[in-house]
Amino acid sequence: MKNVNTISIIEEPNEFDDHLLDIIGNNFNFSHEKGLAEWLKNSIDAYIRQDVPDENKHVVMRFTDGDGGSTNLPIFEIIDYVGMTSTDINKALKRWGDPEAAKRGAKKGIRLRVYGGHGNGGKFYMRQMFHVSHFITYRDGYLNIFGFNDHRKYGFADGFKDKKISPDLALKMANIDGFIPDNVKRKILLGKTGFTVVKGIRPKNIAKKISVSHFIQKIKHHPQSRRALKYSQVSVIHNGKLVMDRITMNEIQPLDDFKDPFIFDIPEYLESNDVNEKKSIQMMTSKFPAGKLILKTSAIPFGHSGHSAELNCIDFIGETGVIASYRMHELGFLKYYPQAQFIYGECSCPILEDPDDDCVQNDREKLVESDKVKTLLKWVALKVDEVAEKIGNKEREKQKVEELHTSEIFNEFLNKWKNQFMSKFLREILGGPDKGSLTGGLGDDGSGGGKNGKSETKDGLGSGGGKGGGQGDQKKKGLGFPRVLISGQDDPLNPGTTVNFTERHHVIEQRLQDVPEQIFWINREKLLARKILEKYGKDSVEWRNYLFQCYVNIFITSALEAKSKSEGGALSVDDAKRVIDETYSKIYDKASTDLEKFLLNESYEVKEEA
Amino acid sequence: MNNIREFNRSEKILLSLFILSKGTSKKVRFEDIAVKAFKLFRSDFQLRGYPNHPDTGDIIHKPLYSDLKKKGFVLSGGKYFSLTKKGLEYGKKLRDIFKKGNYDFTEEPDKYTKSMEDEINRILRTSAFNLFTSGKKEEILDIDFHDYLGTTVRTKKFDFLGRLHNVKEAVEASKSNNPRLYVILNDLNQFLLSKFKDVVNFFENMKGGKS
Repeated sequence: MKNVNTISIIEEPNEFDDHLLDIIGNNFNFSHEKGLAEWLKNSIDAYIRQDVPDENKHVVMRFTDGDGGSTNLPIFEIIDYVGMTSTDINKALKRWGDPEAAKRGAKKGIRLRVYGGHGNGGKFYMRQMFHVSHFITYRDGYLNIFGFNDHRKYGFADGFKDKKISPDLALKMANIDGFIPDNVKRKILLGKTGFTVVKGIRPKNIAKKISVSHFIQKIKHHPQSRRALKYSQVSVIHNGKLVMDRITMNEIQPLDDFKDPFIFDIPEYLESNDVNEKKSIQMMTSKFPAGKLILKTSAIPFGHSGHSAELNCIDFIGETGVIASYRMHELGFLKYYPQAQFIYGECSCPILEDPDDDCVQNDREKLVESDKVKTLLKWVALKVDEVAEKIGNKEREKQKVEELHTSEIFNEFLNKWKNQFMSKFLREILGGPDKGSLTGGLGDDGSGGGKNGKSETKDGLGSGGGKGGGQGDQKKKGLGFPRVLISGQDDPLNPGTTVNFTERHHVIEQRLQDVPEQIFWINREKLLARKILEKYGKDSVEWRNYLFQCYVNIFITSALEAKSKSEGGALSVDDAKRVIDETYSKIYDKASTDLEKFLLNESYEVKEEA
Repeated sequence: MNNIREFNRSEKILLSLFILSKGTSKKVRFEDIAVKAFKLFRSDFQLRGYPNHPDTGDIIHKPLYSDLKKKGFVLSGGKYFSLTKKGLEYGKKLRDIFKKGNYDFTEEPDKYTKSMEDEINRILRTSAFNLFTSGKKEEILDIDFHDYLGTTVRTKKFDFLGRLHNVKEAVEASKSNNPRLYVILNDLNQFLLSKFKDVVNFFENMKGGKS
């Protein structure tokens, strides 16, 4: 007697109830653009199997509106000029879930890289999303009609299995005679090729009019059809009229500063994301070579919604085309998400298709949620963030240049105002009380600009062209007006280089060499400065006020220094307070009239002559 | 004893300033200091050939603007001078010796004085000290160095050198008070002086220095 532990099973074919197809089919949850993409890929695969060059891969999408009644129903069709025999249908099309389905019937000696995958997508779309659907296919002189009836059962149409008919008649039966390119028609008539019309009648959720342009836009951006469209000639017919000669993808112009793609090799091992147990996940073996991530940029951000948003993704490319696609927000946390909207790319990672740990799902929308996939997605997100950060940095650089330009104009305005109106004040605080004792004072006031009194242009500036002062017994050149510049500007003491400070430097900075030249720098990297610029913008009244306050700061510093000098190098708190109060008061009083519009108006434009 | 010596000229001027300011940091005019020094130490500060007139030239000018400032004893502005905390401490010491009627005194090693203690306490609150002790010494900027010294880029030459001297002296003197802290402060001081050697050189080579 045999031991029960050593029995061997005699294998039998699986048996399934058709209900299983409903269960799987429901999971497909098709959208029409996705289903049409599946049909399109099947058509392209038919050409690939016959080794047809790209320029001859003609596919027609034909849409016919219904009238809302039960006679003229809306119809979707996709037509290619290859065709199938009943053998192709029996061995490939009839079989569910065959991963080799798309490769069957290929010309000998062709290494196939077809778009189809598991042989389910197109069939399920026919079965689940139309009232009835069928193929009309003609090849080698035989016409076959195979499809699904309203009970979702498939089979050949009665009387249309291997029906021997002439090519001419076959074309008429399929109603495609009117638009086939001449060279293709000649081939069909000579029996050198055939055709297939995939036809879906009464598509789900469409009772009457088909929004063709909407579908085309969606198909153009759908990950499953993008590549197929790129390498084939797909035209569109709507209600018998050619509405699009060829569906073409809009070329994505890269960002000027990032024209070349970023190419990253996927490391042999990646650290898993598991917080409890860190482990290394192998991403390549001798059988499955290392993968690559290629990231490209778009000059225009893809945005959050709309058709172009579909392109803001990473397509995962496998042996059979796109095996999954992830929008940027689906990759995981992105620190630089706004900049990631300029990025798209492709990731090929052969090990994802390892049969022992296959990560490809039937619908090829997303990968299986395994540790390997999660870890890879995390790595991809990091790389996207890396590129996004570079874009962000570049954006900031450009923004700073723009900020600087506007700020320079405002600053120049304040400089002129200061030179004109504050000269008397500066002479008082810098020249000191001992007129002419040691150091020459500052020049006389210049003449005021603009109009006085009730004039609307009270803010106008004049030139400060007074005569130099200083009549002391030891004549020396007095310190000139403080010259205020904004960090990021060219260094006047070393032309050709820019002067930059950090967030930690002071609001007003001076380098050692700036002191004798009386140059002061407004540090644009200071946190509050950055926040004002980011929140309110370079033209804002908030930013103008910030610049003005920097000037006040410089005046107060100068006033304190002058006072300290007159006090033997030391200054009491009371003296310091008096100086500060007096300086504030003088500057604010003057500014309240001279700079009223500059400081208080929401918008302000510095006049050229200013 | 070897280390017994007479007041030097700078000390005599400092004492004059201390007496004139009544032991405070009040400002005193240059001319008043010259006259006071002449009155206290006539032979040292008389105009050559005119024993009844004070010399207001380099004999008093140089120590005030250079030596005393470099050592951090005085501050100046225009032609006014005032004593720093350290200057006040030292002035008091000189005055006490002088009161005894004999201005020979014994040079003693640096003590950890109140002004030094204040200096060290100030240093402990600086960003340079915090960054240095938290292992972020590479983040120390020139502004931190100035903060450490209590100067700015606008500080005058001899004031800067005076601050440099005072800080160094305070750090050295902290050795006796808190040897462990001294090690850190000394390392910090060495690090900063090395890192900002250019800044120090800039001030040392700066022309002038009067203010």
